[in-house]
Amino acid sequence: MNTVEVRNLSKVFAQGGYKVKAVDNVTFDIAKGEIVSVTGQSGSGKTTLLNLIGGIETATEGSVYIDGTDICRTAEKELARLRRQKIGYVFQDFNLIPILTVEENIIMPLLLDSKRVDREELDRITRFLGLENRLTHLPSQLSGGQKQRVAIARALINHPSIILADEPTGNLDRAMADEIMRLLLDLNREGITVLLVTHEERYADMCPRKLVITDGHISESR
Amino acid sequence: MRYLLYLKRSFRRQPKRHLTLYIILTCAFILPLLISVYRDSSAYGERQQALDMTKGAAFHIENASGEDAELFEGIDGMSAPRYEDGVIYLRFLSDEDWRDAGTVERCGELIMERIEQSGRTYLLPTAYSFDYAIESDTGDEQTVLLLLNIFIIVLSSFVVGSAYKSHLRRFSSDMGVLRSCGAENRQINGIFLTEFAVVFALSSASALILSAGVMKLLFASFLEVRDDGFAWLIFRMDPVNTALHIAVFFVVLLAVISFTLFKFGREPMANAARNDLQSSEMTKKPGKLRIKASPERSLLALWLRRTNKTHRSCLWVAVPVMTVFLFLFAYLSLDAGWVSRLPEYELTVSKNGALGGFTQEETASVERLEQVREIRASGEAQNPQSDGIYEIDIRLTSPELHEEAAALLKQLFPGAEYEIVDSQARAERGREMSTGIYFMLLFIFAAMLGFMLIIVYMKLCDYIEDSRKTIKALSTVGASNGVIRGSYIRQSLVSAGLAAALPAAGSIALFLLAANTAAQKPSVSASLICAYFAVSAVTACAFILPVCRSIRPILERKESIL
Repeated sequence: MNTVEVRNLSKVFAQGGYKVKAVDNVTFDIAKGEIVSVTGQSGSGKTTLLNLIGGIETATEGSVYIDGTDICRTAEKELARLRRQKIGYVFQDFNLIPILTVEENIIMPLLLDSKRVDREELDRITRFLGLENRLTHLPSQLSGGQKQRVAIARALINHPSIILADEPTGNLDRAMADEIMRLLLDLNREGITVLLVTHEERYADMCPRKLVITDGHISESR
Repeated sequence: MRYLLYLKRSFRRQPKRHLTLYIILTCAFILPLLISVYRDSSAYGERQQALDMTKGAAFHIENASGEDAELFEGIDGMSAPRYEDGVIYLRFLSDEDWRDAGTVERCGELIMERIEQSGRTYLLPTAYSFDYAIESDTGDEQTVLLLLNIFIIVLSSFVVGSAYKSHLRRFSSDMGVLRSCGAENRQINGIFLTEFAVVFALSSASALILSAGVMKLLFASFLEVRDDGFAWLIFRMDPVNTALHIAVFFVVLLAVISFTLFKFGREPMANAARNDLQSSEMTKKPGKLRIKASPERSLLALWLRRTNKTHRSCLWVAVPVMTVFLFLFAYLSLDAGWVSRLPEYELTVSKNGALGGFTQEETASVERLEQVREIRASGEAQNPQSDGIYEIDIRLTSPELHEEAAALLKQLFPGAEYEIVDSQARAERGREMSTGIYFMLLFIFAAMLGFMLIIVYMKLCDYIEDSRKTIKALSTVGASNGVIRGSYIRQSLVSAGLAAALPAAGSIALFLLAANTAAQKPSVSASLICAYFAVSAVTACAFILPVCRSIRPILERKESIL
């Protein structure tokens, strides 16, 4: 069964009277439990594709199915629920809420669902990510690698169908980046589907399946 | 030159922000200027009234005839007596003599001696001191107004300073960049202080023109008083006084802004360039995050605990400003109502007590006037030794006849020993003035409201702008637009409720206290209730609208923020 199905997806941006096709008629699937990398040069449309799959941006044409639900034809409120429950995001700039502690950032998706916090699950995730001693810290008190691990913990707390990682190693030094990449691979080994956008071939090559995007067109390299 | 170049670019790059500052400064300066104009006008009116009353003469001898003037000729150091309308005027030849209390006392004794020796005891001398007649000593009211003005200037300087701080924060990344390029703090401060000086010059000139224009118009139409029985009020704008106000405002503001710049200069360069405002405000350990029944409520609780500083500072601006305005409105309404209250007895005629009271024939002649409905004689109680009546209150058949009846009474009682007070004319004048007072209040309200609204608007828009990062993160973890918008609007509603309720409660308490102190009965009118509701509604809107307006584009253009 496929977790993600992308069908004839296009996105056109209007820029000062010109139209730019960031994603052009893209079709592919991601099976449950798969880890897929998307690579390409800057401005090739990697992040736009990820945002379309995550329902952050709206498609000009085509469909994206997450666990069978077409998110391109879903109302904003329902889309927010899907983002909360089915998709976990990891961004290059971490995207943490500066006024919340590590623990609060992690449980934010639960708060938005008005769900109780499962302490055991929280402890398991934070131990797995090595954050158990950082729970009361604010993001401003953490290193880049720690911030990214908090973002991963937040992405995992609601048991999503897929983790969308947009250049998760982009703001980190090599050692930290390797560690984060190892974490994503470990998560995948535990059965979590991962879509990784990166411009670093080294990390793309670690994934069993690699997609290359050029001027909005996608091709399968492996 | 480089300052001017930066200013030119800065003004062009963010014209709205500079315009906002200009309006804030202009509005902040209007109230002190209005009080200053009122103070100058009151002092000038008082002085003109004293001059009109004393006619520049130290001694007035009333109840006199032309023949009595020769009695006061040849007094050493004094002018020849001048007779006019039953009064003899005596002036000192030199101001030094008049200033000297001993000389005035000696001359007064000499005048009394001459009156007694001549047996013309019907003559009534009055002495006026030089201070009263010429120098017009500033009274308590003037001092109170001056102190009030200084207080308003200092208070509004801090409020403007806080708005200026928000303005400077928007440029903190510029400051960081300039510092990283090697600019010294002195140079950076110079840029922003020059900018302040330019905006201050423009706004103080605008406030000056606005205040002077509006007050001149109000004085010409309603407020100028040159009537007997009232304290005179004549439009006057003392340039020295006005310049002093501008200087005080400039110096206090300069101090506040310099201090802010000094603090910015001490911030680490990375902080200034990063401009991460919300996390920099998180100085103490945050309270526990609670998960509530709905996400809006959970987020609301979070905002109230963690990011309510801006709302609190907005309340610090809105609550005192609106409390002062509502109190002023309520108290001046009471005062205007009291001044313009129609009298029970439209006219009063009184007779100098030293000459004995009214005769029965005189009283009867008043009663016989066809405009008179009834009279009330008074005066015995104040002077139990005399069996005379010193004061007659007259109720007319119709209040419109007061001028006609006053003219007839003047014919009946032409001497200087009689005084006729037209209370109906006073009440009518009071009504006319109260219209002017309401217009003045309206102008003050517009300025204060403008001041408050713009500051609150600017701060709350900046607050939402500073929350962009949080909104972005919330959106990506699955908060719907409705939940995000709802939580921020609920936060504003809490502040709006406080901003609407606290000024009303505070001003009512102050009003009751003031009415009690002035021994006046507080009354509630429909216009007062309407004013309270209108001000509360406008204040509440001031907290809700900026949040609604500034959050919409962030949520609608989600793509651009992510």
